[in-house]
Amino acid sequence: MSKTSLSVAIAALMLLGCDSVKNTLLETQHPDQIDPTSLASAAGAEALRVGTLQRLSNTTAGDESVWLLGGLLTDEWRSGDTFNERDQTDQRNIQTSNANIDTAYVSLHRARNSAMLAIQYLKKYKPKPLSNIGQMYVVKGYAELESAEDFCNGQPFSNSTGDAIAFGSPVSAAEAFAMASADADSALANVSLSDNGANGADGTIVTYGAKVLKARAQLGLGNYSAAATAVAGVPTDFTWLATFSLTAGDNQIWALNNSAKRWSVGDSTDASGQIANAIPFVSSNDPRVPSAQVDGAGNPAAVSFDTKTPFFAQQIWGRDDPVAIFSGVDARLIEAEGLVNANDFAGATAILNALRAAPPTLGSSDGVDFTPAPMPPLATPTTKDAAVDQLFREKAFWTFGRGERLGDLRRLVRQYQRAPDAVFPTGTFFKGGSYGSDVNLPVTDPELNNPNFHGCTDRKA
Amino acid sequence: MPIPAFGKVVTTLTAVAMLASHATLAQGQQATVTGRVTSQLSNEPLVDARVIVVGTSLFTSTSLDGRYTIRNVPSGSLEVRVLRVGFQELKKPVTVVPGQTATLDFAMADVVVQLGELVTTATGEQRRVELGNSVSTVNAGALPTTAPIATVADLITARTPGVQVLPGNMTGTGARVRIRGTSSLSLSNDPIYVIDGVRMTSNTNSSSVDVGGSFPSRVNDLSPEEIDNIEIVKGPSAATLYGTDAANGVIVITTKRGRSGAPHWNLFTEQGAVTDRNTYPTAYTLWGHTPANPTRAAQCSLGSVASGACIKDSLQSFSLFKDANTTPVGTGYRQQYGANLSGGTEIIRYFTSAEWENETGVLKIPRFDVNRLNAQGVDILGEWMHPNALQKTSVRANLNATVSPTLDLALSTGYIKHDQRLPQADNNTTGIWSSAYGGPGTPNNGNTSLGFPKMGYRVFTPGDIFQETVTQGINRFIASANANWRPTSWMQNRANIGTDITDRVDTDLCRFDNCSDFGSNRLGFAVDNRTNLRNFTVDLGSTSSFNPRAWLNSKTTLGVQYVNYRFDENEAASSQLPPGAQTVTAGAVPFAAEQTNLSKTLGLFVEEAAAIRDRLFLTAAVRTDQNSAFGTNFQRVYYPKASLSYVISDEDYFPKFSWLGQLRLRAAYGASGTQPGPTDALRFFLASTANVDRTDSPSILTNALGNAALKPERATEFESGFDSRFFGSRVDLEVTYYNKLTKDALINHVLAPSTGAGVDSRLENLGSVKNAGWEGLVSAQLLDRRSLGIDITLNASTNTNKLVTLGSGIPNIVGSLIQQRPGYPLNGWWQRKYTYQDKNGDGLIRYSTDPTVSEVVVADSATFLGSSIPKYEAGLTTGFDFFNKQLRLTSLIDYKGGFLGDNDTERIRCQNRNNCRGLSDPSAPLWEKARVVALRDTPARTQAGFIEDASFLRFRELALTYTMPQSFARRFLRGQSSTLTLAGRNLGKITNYSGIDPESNYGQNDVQNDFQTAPPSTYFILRLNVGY
Repeated sequence: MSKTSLSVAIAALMLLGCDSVKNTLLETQHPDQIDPTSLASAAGAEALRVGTLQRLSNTTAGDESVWLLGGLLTDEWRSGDTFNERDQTDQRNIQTSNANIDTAYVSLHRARNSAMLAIQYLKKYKPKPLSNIGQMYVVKGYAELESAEDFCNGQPFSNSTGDAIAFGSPVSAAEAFAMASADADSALANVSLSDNGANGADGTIVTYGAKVLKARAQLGLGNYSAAATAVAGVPTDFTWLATFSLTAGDNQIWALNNSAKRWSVGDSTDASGQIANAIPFVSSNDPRVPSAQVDGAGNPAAVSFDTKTPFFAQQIWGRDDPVAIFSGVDARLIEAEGLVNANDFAGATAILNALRAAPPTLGSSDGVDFTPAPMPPLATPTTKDAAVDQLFREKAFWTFGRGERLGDLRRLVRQYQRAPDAVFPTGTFFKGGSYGSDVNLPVTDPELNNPNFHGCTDRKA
Repeated sequence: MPIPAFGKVVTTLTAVAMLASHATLAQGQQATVTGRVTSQLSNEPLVDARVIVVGTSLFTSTSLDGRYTIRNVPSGSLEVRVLRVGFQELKKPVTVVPGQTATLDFAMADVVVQLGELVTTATGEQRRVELGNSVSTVNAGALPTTAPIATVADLITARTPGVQVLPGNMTGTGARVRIRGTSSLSLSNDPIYVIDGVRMTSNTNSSSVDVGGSFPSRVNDLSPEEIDNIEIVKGPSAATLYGTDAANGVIVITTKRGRSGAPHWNLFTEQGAVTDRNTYPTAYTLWGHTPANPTRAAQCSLGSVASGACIKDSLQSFSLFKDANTTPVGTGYRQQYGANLSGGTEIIRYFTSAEWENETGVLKIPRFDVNRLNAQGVDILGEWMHPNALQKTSVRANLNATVSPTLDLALSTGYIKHDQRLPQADNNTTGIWSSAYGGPGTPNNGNTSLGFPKMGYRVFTPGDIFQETVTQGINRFIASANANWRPTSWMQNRANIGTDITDRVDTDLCRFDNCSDFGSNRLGFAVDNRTNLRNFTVDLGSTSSFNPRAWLNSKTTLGVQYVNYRFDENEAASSQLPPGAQTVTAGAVPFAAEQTNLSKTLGLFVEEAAAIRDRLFLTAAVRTDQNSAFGTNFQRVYYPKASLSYVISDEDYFPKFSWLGQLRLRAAYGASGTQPGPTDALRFFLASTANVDRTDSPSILTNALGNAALKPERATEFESGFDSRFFGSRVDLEVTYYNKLTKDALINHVLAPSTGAGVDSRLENLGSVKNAGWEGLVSAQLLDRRSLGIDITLNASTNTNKLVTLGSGIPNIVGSLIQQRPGYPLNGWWQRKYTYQDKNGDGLIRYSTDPTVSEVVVADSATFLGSSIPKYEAGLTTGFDFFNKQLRLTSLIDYKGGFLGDNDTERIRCQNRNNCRGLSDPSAPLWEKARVVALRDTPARTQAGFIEDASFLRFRELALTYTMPQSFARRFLRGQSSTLTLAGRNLGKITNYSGIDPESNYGQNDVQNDFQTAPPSTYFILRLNVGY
């Protein structure tokens, strides 16, 4: 054998040998990941549904969500933090690179896309109980609702549930509210009141949740009467809860406020003096928003994480206590708003006073239900402006921390013709400088990777 | 492990060998060449000289008496070459007669630097002169004896051009190494490491417990004492045959080997101090009042004073680092003890070593907190008192056997035990630096939330911070077996098989009622994470050489390489411990997690090398790789290479100059790659626990979208240059130009959030990145007298880095400080620039919305400020020999320039801690005041003033080594030889950087992080070596 032929033989043998064994040599298994084929069963669809509910939780009190950030932009919360991102939001001067806002924005769309995928799998692999499917429509619609309430005009809604990404085009807030309303209708069409929650979603809760969802979407569109009609029959003590546990994750309102002290309950005064338009959540000592200067362990804590901002911890929810995403209180307040816009101020006040006389449970602190003490009745306002003021102030206390305040302040500007500086915190910012002019959250820079998106259409309310 | 699969490969190679054996039998009668190699200068025998029969696979090494014998030499006229570090290579002709022995002796001349030495390449050992690319070598064997070397990173810092090392600053933390710039936007830019022929685990940021950023690197597990030399293969032009993952360069480590001869013992000990010579920032507080409320004290800023919003009353200043009662910085201690034994016969040689070292860092609980804890009756544990420490034990046994004239075997084994302790630090609320740098201008700043004086600390004091104990335990075994079989004079087969197994245990313990009062920490928690990292390598190759013409030698090499990496981690943790508990099982709230990463690469290569008249060397090769991380639509990658090396000064036509000894021209082109992460190509979901209706339930979360078309980054590089030797080998000069282009750059393409993908981005092969620059190395023996010798080595390099494109339709990647924009360097600094002018001459800077009043003007948009990694670097090593080389003084000066650093520690002090000088001290320079106003008072809040020139010149090493007279060693130490070295490391610096140190950094990431982190310590070491 010549040297050349020997070399060729060597090469051939090596290549042949390696080709025959390469699959074995290169085979890998990644046990911490789940292959898409694993979802193709009833159990897979169910696990995806539960995962979607976790995604939903993350858009509420399960993460630093629009609930918290919307409340920071308004007057519910103060930044007691050293991170600029939170200070920007508190100061109403948010950069589009703000990572916290991005996280909250992503979270909404993860819940929405997860719900869409779950609907596909549930319909194919686990069509019963039907209310599971309705529940997923509510999740999808709720993400759209929160996005419409809190983010700027011109936000896109993309879809990554297929093989290729379908990038969404910018839509107005009104179009987003309409999407949410349509999903509420889809939910109501895919629910069965006989589903008792034993093997999945509870049909009654899904039905009430879908009704409140639809009503809030209609409020966003300015259809007050339709909104009130939508929530008819929803009992005042109804709640759709986001629940928490030490294993699955803490209630982040407690974690960021009580424990980390990065957030503090807002008030109408601070080191710079009076904050124009801010509701005195602390100093009013309203029984619906109890607060105290103690940390998560119950020890005295006078200043926040930044060691400067006065610290106030909410006392509604403990570490792993549930928070209502939808509630019967919401339904009553929506009905009251319908009456205000029908100029039935007495009727609206009656609803408010009924709530004040027999407050429903708003939360639970360390497992003990939190039910505010009864409050004296309110006088019936004589003008619509006064009725609106009264309603929105009452609503601020009833819905504290639950992601409704920013949407309501925007509606005061958009639907009730209030000037932004007559609604949002204004004047000197307590950490230096002045409040900015933001009235919503911006869609963040990463969305520029959507070829259809080139920035918010506008930042108007 | 798929052993059966390997069996097939081994069977294949065995078949090849059998074929070769048959070929052997077909050879004609053979002869023997023997002889002796000596130093021309001293006539002393030279051990370990490599003797090679030119144009064949035959070689051997000289024994202790300088003798060699090569058997089975083909008869006829041959040339024999001899190579040895420190000597000029020699080549002699010889004619051998069948069945007889020819004698051929060599007397070798000394040289300063060795162009002719051997280097380890992917195809085996090769003469450096035959390579078309530059390979840097660090002769590490003696360095720990004569220089302040504690880590592998210390060995390569500032010693070779084109290699940038950013050291770790706390005891046991790792360094960042970059070779010829930064190529990848989203993947690791770390080089890979090969030790004794097999892939070495070299993970950076290697810990599962977050302490804020300062992490160990697995590279530093190795003991420098065991390393003989380090070769740095710098880029794709040289690293092609190392395959996928080698695009960032390859660091080839060879451990020490035994030499034939009587057993030789070497004992050593090292004792030293780890000191802190840094200047820490002073904290300032400016007190005043507002015009509206003159009786109420308020903290002013100079900006508010300038605008009239605040009226200053008094200035407080305090540096807790300068107060013996409050400083957390003291003096650490370093000690090391070791022994090694080497020796053997011509048949079998051994090297064994054992080393133990212990280093305690500079951090400590300050006096006031010791007193406080004592008063509380708290028993202060040693791990709290000195929270940063490292204890390491290394044992190595290497065996080399010449089984027959045609078969050499080597076995290399190393065991490392490593116990690390790290404090909470860096980017960490409960970190020591966050509180130490962040307090006000007074020690009387009230109490912690636990009711004890803060003494100038911001939130927490060291006595509580250091109660959280983070440890890392390493048990690591690196082993390789190497065979070199030369069945015929024209064929050489080699096999390297080995593994690197690391068992890592990371723990984090905060006992009940201990630690900083942050969150629920004081309820106690325990973390115990167990990780296995495994690298398994099989590297087989066969080289055939023949001489088709008298002036032409051809070598063909075929090889196969398999690398299997596996990372398994189990995490266990719990919180809410009962008093006295320290284990995970004791906690009321358990947590568990599991993580697995796998990566497998199978590569084949073929190389053809031609030597024409032993002065022109041409090489062409191609390697093809398959990798488990490639997408399903991408199966195989090909990496070609070609190189030329031409010793033009050997040509007859080349003019002869008395001052020029040798001139070699070289050029090389090659490609290599960087593989994506193990799961980057896959679409998958994640399991999670969700709480629904107050019940924990299993759930599935949407996660990665995957990318079926994913393939490795492909880096191609062209380099060319020359090596030359002047003035009778007294001066050597190497110059290299390189141009590296990374295509299909893997970029984490940010996914539009509205897609709702479970991850923020996915890897796509999108962009391209260019690195180009010059490298130079000058070595000179300036003076060589009995009384005084002077030698210098200067290495210098430049690097120009540019992102060529991000890919079609991909928007610029815009971070708050760092942006990725085509036409600019990767990871460049971008901010809105500002100008300032003290218009009213009040010595203050004021911002106003009225442009006629405002003394700061900020640009409308962010612009490029500068590169974040050095564009220029240089290292100057100088040696002075006194008294017939009995006393040697060496120094190393390290320069890095052309880059900006983010003084983020000062930024947060000015922006959030409210204690920096520019914010409060009216006597601060105007530029310092202006950057604070630009940061705090302008709507843009630009940080541009804190992105500073970070160029520096550092007095890196100084060492004085005294070789004691043999009589002294014999009389007092009962040894044959002894040296005593006094050395210092990080002795001083020159820089304009206004932060604590331009090398302040945590982590080993692409962008340096000077954010509440530790500056470098200064080491003073005394070392004694005794040989027996």
